[in-house]
Amino acid sequence: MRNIKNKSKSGVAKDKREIVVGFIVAALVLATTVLYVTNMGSINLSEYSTILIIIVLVIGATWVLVDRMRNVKAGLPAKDEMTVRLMHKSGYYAFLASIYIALALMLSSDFLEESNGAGLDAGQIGGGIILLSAIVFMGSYFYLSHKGAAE
Amino acid sequence: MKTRIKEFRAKYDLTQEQLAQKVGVRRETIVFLEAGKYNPSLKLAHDVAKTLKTKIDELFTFEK
Repeated sequence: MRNIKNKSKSGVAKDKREIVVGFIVAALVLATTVLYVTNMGSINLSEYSTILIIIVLVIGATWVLVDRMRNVKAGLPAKDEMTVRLMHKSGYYAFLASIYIALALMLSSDFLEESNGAGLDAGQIGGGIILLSAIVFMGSYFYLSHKGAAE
Repeated sequence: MKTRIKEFRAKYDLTQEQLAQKVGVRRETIVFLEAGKYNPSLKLAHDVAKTLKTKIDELFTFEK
């Protein structure tokens, strides 16, 4: 029985480093969100939805990191060609979605301005595009992780 | 796509995890390959066939 690849020690160390950095970033994002919430006097509806999206993204990222950690502990690679292909496909879907999200947010802003006198500012539109595209990316990745990439 | 990976794996008494370790991929990749849910690259197909001491066209069949 042939062994094709035994991951080098430096490769395993790199995988572990990436996982640790990922956990640190997720923890920092969560801590920042908690600080923001605790320091705000009152939170309006759009801020609630933003906070909820951030929490969902952090949970999703943590799930992926835990899955990678399990593979590294079992002596398997954290990423391989299939995970890279799934990420590329998810990125493609997220990119397409971002175009429609941008259009939808700009149209919504115009509609709100006409009806309420105040639309969305550039920061809200930009932030909305980023967060919603990230949701599409994460959703696509999890869907493809179960469905596979048979094309 | 249909594969005979499970058949060859059983022949050498390998678990999916053991085969994944030998090929250098995640266990999920082997699971998806066996289920026909993932089309491997030529390199991966070659690596799996080489590990199982067989040929690519004996391991993978594509039906229209």
